[in-house]
Amino acid sequence: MKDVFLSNCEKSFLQRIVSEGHRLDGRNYNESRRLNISFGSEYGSCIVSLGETKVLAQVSCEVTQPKQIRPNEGILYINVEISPMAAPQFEANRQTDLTVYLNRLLEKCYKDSKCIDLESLCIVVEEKVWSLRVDVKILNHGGNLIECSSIATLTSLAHFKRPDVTRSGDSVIIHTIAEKDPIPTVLYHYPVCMTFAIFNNDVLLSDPSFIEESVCTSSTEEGINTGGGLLVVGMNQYKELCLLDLNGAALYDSNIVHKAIVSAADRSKEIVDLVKKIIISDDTMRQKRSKINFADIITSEHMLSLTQKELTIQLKNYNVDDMTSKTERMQVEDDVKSEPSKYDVVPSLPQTAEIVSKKGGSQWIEISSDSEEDQ
Amino acid sequence: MGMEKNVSKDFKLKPMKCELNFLSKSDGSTILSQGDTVAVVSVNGPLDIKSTSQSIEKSTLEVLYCTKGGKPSVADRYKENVIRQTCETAILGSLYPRTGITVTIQELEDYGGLLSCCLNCTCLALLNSGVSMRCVYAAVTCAVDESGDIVLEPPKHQLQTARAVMTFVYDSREKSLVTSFTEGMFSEDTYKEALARCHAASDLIFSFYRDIVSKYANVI
Repeated sequence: MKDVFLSNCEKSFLQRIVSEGHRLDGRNYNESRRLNISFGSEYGSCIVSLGETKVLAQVSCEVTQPKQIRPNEGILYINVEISPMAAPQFEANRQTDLTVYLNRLLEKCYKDSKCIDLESLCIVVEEKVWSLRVDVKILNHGGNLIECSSIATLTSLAHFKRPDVTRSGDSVIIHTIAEKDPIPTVLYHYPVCMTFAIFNNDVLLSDPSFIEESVCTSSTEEGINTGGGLLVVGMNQYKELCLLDLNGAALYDSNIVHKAIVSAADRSKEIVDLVKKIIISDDTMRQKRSKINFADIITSEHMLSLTQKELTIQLKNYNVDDMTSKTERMQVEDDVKSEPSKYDVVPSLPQTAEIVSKKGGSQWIEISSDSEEDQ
Repeated sequence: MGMEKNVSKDFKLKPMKCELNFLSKSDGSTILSQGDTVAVVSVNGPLDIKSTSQSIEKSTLEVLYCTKGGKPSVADRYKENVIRQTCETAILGSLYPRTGITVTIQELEDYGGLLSCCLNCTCLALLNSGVSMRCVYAAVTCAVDESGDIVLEPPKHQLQTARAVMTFVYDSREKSLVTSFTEGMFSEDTYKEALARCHAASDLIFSFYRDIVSKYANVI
């Protein structure tokens, strides 16, 4: 299945209602969908949902050799994957333009803005550094993947804790979480990418949905561009610009960028505050040793959901069978031994028997020969 | 022996929790948790696929298993294969010739019994997508621990010390075995006993399926 095509009536309807001041889902121009963040049981795993868009992010770490040019810095690697789970038009194990674009944007936003203290990831200069790998998986593509995956990357990086390390002479000991408290990643600032859809060169929609994204970047049937596009603004909580990216038609009014930056500044503050708050509350929950699991995102009051506590099963009827099978087993085992077999069944522990190959090659040959099988 | 102690005791399957239609873009999707193990499955299809992979007899089933982080491994491909073959027996593929059905599985948490959780979740997602099926199926995992006892739905620490881990899949119509996937060493009798125990446990999973379908079918 290839790309999703929009019908002309969909396009023109959306263009018309946007120019009249409405949006398809009833939001205001600068209103975002509901942001929801939930954590998994491991450090650095989270699912971020922005409306219907859902993204899973997982941070993992390993010790590697640093790059030659930066011998005292750790490595940050971001990998975005879009599987057919996101939407049916995506193919499995295939790099699309969207994957590359998302990967590049996230790298620009988190690597090039130097928000992570990479020097703190160094263990031994020129020999051993931590390499952090962020795996971003798109679960559901409901529009505005950029913002959602950027929040997911930021949250998982901020939530992640790497194991503690001690150096004794030349050897490096990596402690498990049970041995020593893990160390959180140091973030200098929290950049977030935000997307704005531009309609007719003057209207800015924040957090565009899938259909709004596709309409604003598509051209009309005559091939005339309607002056729409996607503007990505990366900004941290100090209202510092980290990234700007424009997709679609060229801008002819620079004021629209200013407008976007002003509204991104407020939004980024909101998002970063929420991310920080939710990480702190998650941390206190973990310190109270309450279990946090992705199972928590399954709602129970939904019509299409079902929760069943302990499912009990009585295996009493096996009482008799077990006893008989046990006695039978002894006989069976005796039988096996009496037959000429290439294996010996040696009773080792209750319920199990080990199969040990018999010593002596003559029987081996006899068994494998065809004449033996014919008998 | 440890056996007698266990027999009189009631066995408990881990609490199950699921939500259908978890993802909006897929034709069918489910998130299922069995204890602490969680998986999400999305089903898309029947849809148009490349002509090279089309079959004139039945729909082509494609199963993709994604781990939570890191690179794909050979073990994942193996799991994919087990799940694909199980699904193929359940789906009435001959109704949809020259099409493809894509099943994508995303692991979220692994605390033991991930394969059976993925299989059950796939079955629920297939039910949710409305693809015609011959039967539904239920998967149960059990382990043979060090002393030789059979443990249903073992937790992760027990799996690491277990002598063998077995996963059985049963169909709903004849309650017959569809798939058997085993690791480790065990005797034939242990296998038979595990088979019978998991068979009894699979009834609970079928009733779970029935409960969820009847819950939303009432509203429709």
